[in-house]
Amino acid sequence: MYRQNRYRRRRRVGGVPMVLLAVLLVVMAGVLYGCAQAQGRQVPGQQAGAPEGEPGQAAEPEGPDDAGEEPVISNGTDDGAAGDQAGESGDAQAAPEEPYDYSQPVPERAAVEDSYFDDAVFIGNSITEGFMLYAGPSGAAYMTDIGLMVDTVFTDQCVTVGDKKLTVMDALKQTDFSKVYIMLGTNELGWVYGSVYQEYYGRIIDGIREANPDAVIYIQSILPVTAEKSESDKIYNNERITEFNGLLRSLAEEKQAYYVNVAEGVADENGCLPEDGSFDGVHPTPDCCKQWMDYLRTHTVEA
Amino acid sequence: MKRVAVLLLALLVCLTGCGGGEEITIKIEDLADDLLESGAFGETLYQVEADRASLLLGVEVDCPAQIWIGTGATAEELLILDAGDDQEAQTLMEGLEQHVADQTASYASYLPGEVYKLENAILERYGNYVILCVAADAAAAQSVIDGYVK
Repeated sequence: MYRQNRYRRRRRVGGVPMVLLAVLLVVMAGVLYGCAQAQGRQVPGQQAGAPEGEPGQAAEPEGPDDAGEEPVISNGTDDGAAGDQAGESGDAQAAPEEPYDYSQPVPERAAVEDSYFDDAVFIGNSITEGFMLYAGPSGAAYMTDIGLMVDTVFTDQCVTVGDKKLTVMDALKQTDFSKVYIMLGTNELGWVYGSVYQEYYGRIIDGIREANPDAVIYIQSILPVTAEKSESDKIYNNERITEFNGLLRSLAEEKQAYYVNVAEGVADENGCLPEDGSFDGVHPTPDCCKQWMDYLRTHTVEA
Repeated sequence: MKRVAVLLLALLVCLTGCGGGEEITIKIEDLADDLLESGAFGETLYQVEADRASLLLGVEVDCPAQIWIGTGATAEELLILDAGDDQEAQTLMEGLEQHVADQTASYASYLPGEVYKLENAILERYGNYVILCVAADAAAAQSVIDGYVK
């Protein structure tokens, strides 16, 4: 009887049941693989963010609410996949990038070499001229005028190209560039309607995209003024600057440009330009310009 | 007749010598220091490298130079350039004339209170030296310069 039962048990584990077991194992392996791939798409590492307050207050970048459909550039900083473009990685195990959150300032990352700016154009007013003289990258191009504003960018023939004087927008069309850094707004603080300033700024971005649809566009926050200036001037004060920087941040999100909060790179603990950082309370000294440049080196996006 | 010819020749040589002028040598660092300390400028000026300054000036500066510029708060600036030869000096003069004209036009709408400094700017050539001085007190600056060139 014992021997017969043993014989019967052997028959139950051979043949068809073995095939079924093998099929089951294959199916399980496929399910596990698929789960692993799905987990890889949900990349952690985004930092919690906070609304921007006074100029100079650091705004930590927030993580995106969802994965999105068009991953382009990650604005995580510690994630090793931050430099990878979605769809371009040849590594089958690399996780697709989270979509960039344009509502947040460019986060801090490892400093780039100054060669990063060799294909950059800096557009700005007298403040950018000082930056150009004392700290700006030597390989970049500069399109500046001391009183330049978001409307005169289209009309002021202030850029020398060859033997001609062109407007900034016309000069861009004749310039090879991959990145544009804009800082405009100090001269517009007296405008009645910030919305008009924002609208013209938006046209500048549109014009840049016409000249180069692939350009990386950085909207630099307006630098703060000193506390003394801010307290004594009805126009050039940090409350007004904060308001305008808020408009720029919204514009960056709307136009999918990168808002780089250089103001926090030069501001003191109160969000003001240090008193010894400016002769007139508005224009930064060479040392402040160097801090500004240091901030730019550590707040870039992969192009 | 011979004596007349010799006298005329001597007179000609003298006139030629007078018209050519003496060669001027300026220690540009010393002149810059004296100007910066003279009180002629209202804003603190900072020394700028020639290649950087060229971006602002619209003229290439490729010679020994003392270049001091402000932060943009005023139109004040100081350039003392040792051009080295006549042609380079002339090129720099023409470029700086255009620069002053451009600055005047820009400041007229940006900071009209600075225009008088540009209108009174010292832009002079002394031998192969070119000096541009946009100062709050042009007379004080000229007095210092005169001490070096006369």
